[in-house]
Amino acid sequence: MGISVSVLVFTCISIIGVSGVFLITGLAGMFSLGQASFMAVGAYTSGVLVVRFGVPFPVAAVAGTLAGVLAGLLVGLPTVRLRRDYIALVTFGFGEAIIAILNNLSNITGGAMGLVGIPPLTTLPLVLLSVFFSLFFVWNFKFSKYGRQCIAIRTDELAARSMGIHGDGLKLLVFILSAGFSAYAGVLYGFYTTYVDPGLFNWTRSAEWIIMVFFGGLGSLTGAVISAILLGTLPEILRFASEWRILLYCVIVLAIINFRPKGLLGERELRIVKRKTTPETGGAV
Amino acid sequence: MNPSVLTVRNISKRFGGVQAVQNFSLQLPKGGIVSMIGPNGAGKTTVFNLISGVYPLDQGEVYLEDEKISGLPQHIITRKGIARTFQNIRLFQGLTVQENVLTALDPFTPYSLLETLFRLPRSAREEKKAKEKARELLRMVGLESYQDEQPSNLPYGLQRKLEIARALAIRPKVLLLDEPAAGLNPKEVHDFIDLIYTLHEDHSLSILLIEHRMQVVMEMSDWVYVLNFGKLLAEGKPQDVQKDPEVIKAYIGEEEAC
Amino acid sequence: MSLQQLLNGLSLGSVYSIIAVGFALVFNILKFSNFSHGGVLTVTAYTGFLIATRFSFGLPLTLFFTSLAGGVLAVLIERVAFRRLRRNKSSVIFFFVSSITMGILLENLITIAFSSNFYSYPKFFQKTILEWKGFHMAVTDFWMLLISLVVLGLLMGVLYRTKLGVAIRALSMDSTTTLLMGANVDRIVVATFFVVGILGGIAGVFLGINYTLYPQLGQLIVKGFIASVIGGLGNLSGAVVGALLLGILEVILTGIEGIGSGLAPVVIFFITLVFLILRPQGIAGKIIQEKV
Repeated sequence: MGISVSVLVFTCISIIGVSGVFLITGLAGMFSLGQASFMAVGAYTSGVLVVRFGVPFPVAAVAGTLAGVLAGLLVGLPTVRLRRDYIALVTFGFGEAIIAILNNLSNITGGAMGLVGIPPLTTLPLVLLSVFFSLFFVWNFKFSKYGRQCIAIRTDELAARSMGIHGDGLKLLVFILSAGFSAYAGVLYGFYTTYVDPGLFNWTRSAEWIIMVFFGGLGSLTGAVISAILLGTLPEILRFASEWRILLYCVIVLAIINFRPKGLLGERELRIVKRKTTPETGGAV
Repeated sequence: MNPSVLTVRNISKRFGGVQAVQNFSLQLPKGGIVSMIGPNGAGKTTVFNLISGVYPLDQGEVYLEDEKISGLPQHIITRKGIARTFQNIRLFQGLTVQENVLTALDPFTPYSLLETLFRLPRSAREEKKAKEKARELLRMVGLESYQDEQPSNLPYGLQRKLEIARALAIRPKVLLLDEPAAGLNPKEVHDFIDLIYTLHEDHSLSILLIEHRMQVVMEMSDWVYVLNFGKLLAEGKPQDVQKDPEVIKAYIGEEEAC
Repeated sequence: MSLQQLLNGLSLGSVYSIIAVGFALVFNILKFSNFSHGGVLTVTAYTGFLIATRFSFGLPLTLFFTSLAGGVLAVLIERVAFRRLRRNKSSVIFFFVSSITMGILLENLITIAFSSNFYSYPKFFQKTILEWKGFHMAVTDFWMLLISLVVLGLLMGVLYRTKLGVAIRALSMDSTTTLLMGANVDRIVVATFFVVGILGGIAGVFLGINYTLYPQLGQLIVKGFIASVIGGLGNLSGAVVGALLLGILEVILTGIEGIGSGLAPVVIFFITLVFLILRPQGIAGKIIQEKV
């Protein structure tokens, strides 16, 4: 089949980003059209620190991720208690604002021409390790009190509050976590492609991730991962140009929403790894 | 020391042009069972919503024992000890029966995010404990064999029981039941009354009930409040209220209009 | 702020108001934010371009055909993206995702068909600038303002003076009762989308003239969203007011030295955020507290 290393790396980076989106959209039911901008925050912060200030990579990587977390906090704080469409609007606006700022700070960021010269420090082992831990974290989150309460909030926020669940607090937590995931994905991305520009992190990328979660089934992490792999590698295999790929995504999503709103797996998960705990609920059906 | 566990004082709420509740007061004595009745649209569910914090009060106060709870956020009011069920069953469809009960326990389960992400031992331990508690609650309402089912697969009567199990998970001082017998057949209603009594005894619950089924109201209530058009129409012991001419007019008047 | 800026802002705002009203209409009856409208804007903008250049039509004729095209497209979108969801009584999330997906799909169709080249509308008028007592206004701006006012006036007429309008308003207030009253909800929804499509067709041409043509034109739907938020989601007159204010605001911001068109989105983002926090019901709206 000849799937190159780069396809593997990009797919893994997607998976990391998508697991963040799974938290925020799949579990908590919020729509963030700005996830890609957190990716930009991660990529640019770490990139600039290394390229312009000679900071060592591990430090820059952590800084980039933390920058994303901080941005998530700042944006999330006023946003999570708004209605769903407003959250989408605000995160969209944030995304646009970040792109505008990045374009304008051309002294530091290289503006629209992009940031060049990022050393290629993202290795395949690093990426694979990162994917493993991302999925490990998100899986644990889902099957814990946090995951359950998020699903409750998504399904019926009023009833959830009546059960004592702190809706806004949890939503903010999830918002911050997913921003962190996106930012880290951005770090890996920048140090793999060695070049980033603001246009890479627009809302369509955010929408793609949301689409992947929907396709796989809103509540299913395995589904989201499968989507990311399928929708990520398919066009490579079939040699599609990028516009056709997006067209394909859209048609798939419309089909799913109309004919199988539960997505591939609905709420179910595939038990790939047996874990030694008490009988879990929500396991493979 | 307040003998009432729940005191509602002069509450009012307006929705746009409609005065849904006006100047309503009630007392729920500790360990008592009190009912609210009245024609449809009389404002009973709105009163529940005001007590549990779904809407802010336009006017008035609500006290839980001696503490003022009106104005607090919904989830805080719940954690202070007020649990409720809903007229149209509001179960979490993405979760199993057991998980539905767990969500009510979750706000109290003591393990942190870090322990969750890294799957540290305490999180597994506390999860196990919580699941035990959930199973116990399901056992109390007779649902333990259904614990891995989807709530939508349960028959209506069992879904209502699940809502009650979930509400009990909070270990409430006060239980608000909104038309809990709606949609049940006579035998189920009978079972239901037994269940409520048992729970009431075993857990020293104070219960505030909205019901249309006179059978339930008469058998269970220590005291009855009658609402009409958002205002208090009458209150008293069940037998007395049943005979009150104003109350009869309110109900029969409604029938005539239909 | 000069009177000149005010004029420019109003003219820009009038285009936004057509977008915002189209947005608000769908919000009224289906209770979700319809992002596919952006796709309608883009497609009709390009359609108008094709018609104007192929057939050398003037502005009025171009508008006529694009509004028709817009109407048809919107009805198609309803059929493909929303009909089934309505039947299944799906939750709002799905409508929302469906509309965004549709919007992206249309944007990409245009990208494939026209590639990312920039196209320009032909000149519709001989004179390009109107002058009056020292104030300038582009002729196109003038016509856009005028036509927008006329269209909005017509819309109000339809909504308040025709049977269809009553049906639409009834549906927006209470869909169940409307259904029970024997109204054919499907037909009302289709009719509303047709009207929305017409509005989109007109706005599309205006945007195409104002901004030159590029496939991401549809993202200007966000302006409609912002305008509706400022004005009050679902409230039609609020949407118009919000749009006019937004237009004026943009003109002012672009004129300020340190901000310009580059950082204007940032400022607008903050303003929208502030609005949402401090006055989520917008200028004209009321917080619709759901009775549960």
